[in-house]
Amino acid sequence: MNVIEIKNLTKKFGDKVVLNGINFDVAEGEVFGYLGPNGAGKTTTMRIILGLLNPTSGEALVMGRNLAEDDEARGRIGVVLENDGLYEDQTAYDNLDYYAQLYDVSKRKERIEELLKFVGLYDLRYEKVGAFSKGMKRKLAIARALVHDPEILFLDEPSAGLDPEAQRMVRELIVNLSKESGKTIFLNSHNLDEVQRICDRTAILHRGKIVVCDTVENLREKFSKPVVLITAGDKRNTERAFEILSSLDFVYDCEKEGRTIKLTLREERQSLVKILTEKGIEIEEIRKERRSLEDIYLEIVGENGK
Amino acid sequence: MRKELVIAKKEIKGILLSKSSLLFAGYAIFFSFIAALGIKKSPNAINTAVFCIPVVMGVFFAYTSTGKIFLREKRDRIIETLLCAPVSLRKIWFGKVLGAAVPSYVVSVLSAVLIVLISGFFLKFVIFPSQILLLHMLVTTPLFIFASVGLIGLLYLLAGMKEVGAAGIIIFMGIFGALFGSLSLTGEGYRISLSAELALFVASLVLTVLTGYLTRYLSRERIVTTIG
Repeated sequence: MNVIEIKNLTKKFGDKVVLNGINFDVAEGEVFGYLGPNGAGKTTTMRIILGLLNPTSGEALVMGRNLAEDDEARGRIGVVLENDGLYEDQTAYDNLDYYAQLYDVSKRKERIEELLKFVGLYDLRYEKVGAFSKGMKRKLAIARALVHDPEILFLDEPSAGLDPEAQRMVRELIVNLSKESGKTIFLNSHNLDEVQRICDRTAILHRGKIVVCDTVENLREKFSKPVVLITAGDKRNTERAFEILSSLDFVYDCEKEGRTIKLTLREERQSLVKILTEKGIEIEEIRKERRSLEDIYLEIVGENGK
Repeated sequence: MRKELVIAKKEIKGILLSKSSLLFAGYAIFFSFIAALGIKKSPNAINTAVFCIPVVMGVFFAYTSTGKIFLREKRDRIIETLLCAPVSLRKIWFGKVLGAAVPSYVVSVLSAVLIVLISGFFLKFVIFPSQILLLHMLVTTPLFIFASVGLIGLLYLLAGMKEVGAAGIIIFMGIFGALFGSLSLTGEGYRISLSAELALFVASLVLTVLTGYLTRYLSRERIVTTIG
């Protein structure tokens, strides 16, 4: 079942088209990564979904409802926006208690203490948030977003501005939430590594349009040219193999480094080993390279940017 | 608890614990002391003092509090998270207005009480203001403060951050214009006439109705797009 449905969504600010007829769905329990360079329209999309902005045309539905007009439906989602939205002159406990009351949480004290333990801030519950580090604030913001046990969690750049250790902690927190409680998570990010590690599916937004929307594995299959690494037995075999492989018409690019040859193919081929062994070349190792989401992203965004 | 009251409670707590509350308590004592010195010479001046000083103190405190409650929350983008909560925009506005208006009214009442007590100390006997002023303190003053906070808060939510400073000052001046305009209707010998009180009451009522009408222009998009 799809819990987020984006249909022909367009947003213009004056003459500037920020989103141009985008479509995608997010299924229940899915961790969905919404990727794109700065200024691509990621935050605008999230704001429209959350009901903070009105679309110029099209619609954004969450659990079949428009959050801009439905207070009750907003009570079923949790948000962590780019700004943590915390009151720095209040304690961690008071910050959570305020939202717990706004979301009509029953047994507030128990719930707040449970969440503060979950994010590792229980011992600091009576400290003012202004004294917290960025990572602690982000964790507290995640706890606040969870205070009413929402069905869907919206996270806007959750690891932005954090040091690597804090990034890892936030990432683990998101993975735990997804695995243990099965929450649907919509993650706005330009951190490709983060999306690759934690998302089931991803959409790439570029210049107001969804360029691709699929699982990371499928993106690897669809969008990257196959890359094969061949390690020959010795220097002489490497030279000969390089000569032969460079001349093949289905080879797009051929690079040599030491005894390893990196081949970028125009299309998938199974016959490489056969070609080389028939020519008497000794092969020590041959393997397909798994391209990172970053390679794919740069390729897609690069192609669309031309 | 109703959600607007949850918001109001949080804002009241924040204001009462802030340094500006302490500062305003000091102002209230200072101005009441100055007023009491005048009342010592002309005891009837207590009417003008109670008519004017508590409202000025209340509105001035409200202006400061409204900046903290509405403007700072908007400037720091904290309001975006609040706008995602299951609370209507009007309830958010009303809760915040209540949160600023209640402590402002407390400052106002405190000023009035201090004027009476300090002047009583100087005169060796306590003079109570007229019945009109009782009406002034119980009805007109809270209404005037509520309307002022409501209008300034609304402006802070709807206007861009650049326009907000200048527009806030214009509204602030307008509010004091209304206050001192009604003071010009004061009768001879520092007597507060019913017409002066009615004029201020009507001005407060018009301001409240106007503010209530303007809340229909509140929109999440307007608030979000006027940040920064």
